[in-house]
Amino acid sequence: MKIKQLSYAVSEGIRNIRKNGLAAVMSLGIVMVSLLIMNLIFSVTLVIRYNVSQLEQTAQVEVFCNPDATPEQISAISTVIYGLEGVSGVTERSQEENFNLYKEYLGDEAFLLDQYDSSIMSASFVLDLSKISAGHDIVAVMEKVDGVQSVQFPGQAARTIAAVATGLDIANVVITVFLSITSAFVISNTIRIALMTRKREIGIMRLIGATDQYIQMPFSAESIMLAVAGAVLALVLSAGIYSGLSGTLQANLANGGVTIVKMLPLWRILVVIAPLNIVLSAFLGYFGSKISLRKYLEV
Amino acid sequence: MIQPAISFEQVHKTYSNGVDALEGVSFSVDPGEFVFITGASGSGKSTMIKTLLREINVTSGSVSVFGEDITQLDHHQIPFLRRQYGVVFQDFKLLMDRTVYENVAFAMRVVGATPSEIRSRVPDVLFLTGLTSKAKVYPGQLSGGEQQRVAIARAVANNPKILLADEPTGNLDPEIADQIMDLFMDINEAGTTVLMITHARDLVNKLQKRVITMEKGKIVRDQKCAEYAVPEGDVHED
Repeated sequence: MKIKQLSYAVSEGIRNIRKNGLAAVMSLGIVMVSLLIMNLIFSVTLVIRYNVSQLEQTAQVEVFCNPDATPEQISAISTVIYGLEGVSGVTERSQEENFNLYKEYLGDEAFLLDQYDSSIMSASFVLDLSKISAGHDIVAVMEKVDGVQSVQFPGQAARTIAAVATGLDIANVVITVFLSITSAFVISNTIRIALMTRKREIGIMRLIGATDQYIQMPFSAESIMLAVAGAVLALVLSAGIYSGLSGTLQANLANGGVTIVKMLPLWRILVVIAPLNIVLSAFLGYFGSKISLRKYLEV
Repeated sequence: MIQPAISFEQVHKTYSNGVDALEGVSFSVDPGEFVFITGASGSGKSTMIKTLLREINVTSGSVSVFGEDITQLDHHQIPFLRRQYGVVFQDFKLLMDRTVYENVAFAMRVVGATPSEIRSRVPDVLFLTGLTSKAKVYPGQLSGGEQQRVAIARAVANNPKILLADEPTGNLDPEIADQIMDLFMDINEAGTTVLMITHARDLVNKLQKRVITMEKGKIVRDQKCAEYAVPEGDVHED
């Protein structure tokens, strides 16, 4: 498309938007609301996925031996562990080390252990996982080994959270598709109104030799401009809402002693949703205009 | 041998409701010729223009413009056919929300003229049609005759080879109609082929040009330097 044609399409598109007024505002509004909803759900899933990935990076399985396990049993457990796949490192903790760690954990209340010694604690093996997906199998294997008291796998929680994020992703896709269809329909109606108001002009254009493309360009430009403007507004609102809510949420979680949950910085959200919004809105605008142009503009 | 500007050969057009609008119409128009098409309402005159513009296609026969059979054109070729014509209608068909200048420039922009070409050509065309002082005026502020001048200015802006006019003086006072016809004559004398549908008997008689008379979809008379033949059932007595 030549620059002068593009310039014509844009200037005529703006002219149409001015003429259409209310219908144009409705189109812009529906795109904005649709993308805002999509952005907010998407932001939540991005934050969840970020936290899941953080959890996954520190994923470990800890195998606790029976407190009264014999050195032979512990040695056998060790042999099994070192033969496992998906383990990138192993830290062995004696009963004494675990007892001291527990005292550190209790802090001011460590005095509660004064009348006990390390024999109440289990020796353990901390397994660093090279991939989180191996965790579940490792737990299954180790639980059957003689002398093993319990196996803890915090990564299981990460997987559950990841499943929730996947569910949210699917819900978001469904909602986005539904809202996109609604948006395209509203945009299509706006273009239909524009076509009706310019019916005479289109007829004249045809008679003096305008091509289909030339006649259609201003309408496509109008709907794409409306949709992209809606996307820009949605992005601004999304950024404002995310900044406000993430700050408040982080502070509340910290006050409640929850420091493990981390919010993503705004720019990391925008880097993902901004291109998505612009591309999706441009597509919605183009597609929305095409519906009406094909149906009502028999060029 | 000169290639005809327009050539109809055994053209039949039957509409979907069964009406035969054209029945074996054959004629040709030489480049630079001025031809009146006359006939009663429903005689097929407008169908002829629509066929030339490819708003409709013929049922059988062929219609050629400068040797090219336009009945065989693909949909995407039709705009380029129309660019060979200037078209003037009884109801002017102007864009009422654009100035006189913009109406003319619009026709040039549609066919891909550059801004500099538009800036250079539009004032010339407005001068030719006597509209220089009205360039910034909207059509609604003009008289009927002036509006038709704008339509003519728009029609000739792209230097068409053929000017098609469908009752261009139908809504105008006789005096104004005379002026408009003078304008068509000037354009014709500059080499543009003119095909004009009209009921304006006085104008036809005055100009003594070729007159094709139609009745019920057929050509019943085709005479050079002729006068208006009152068609059967014609109620127009201009």
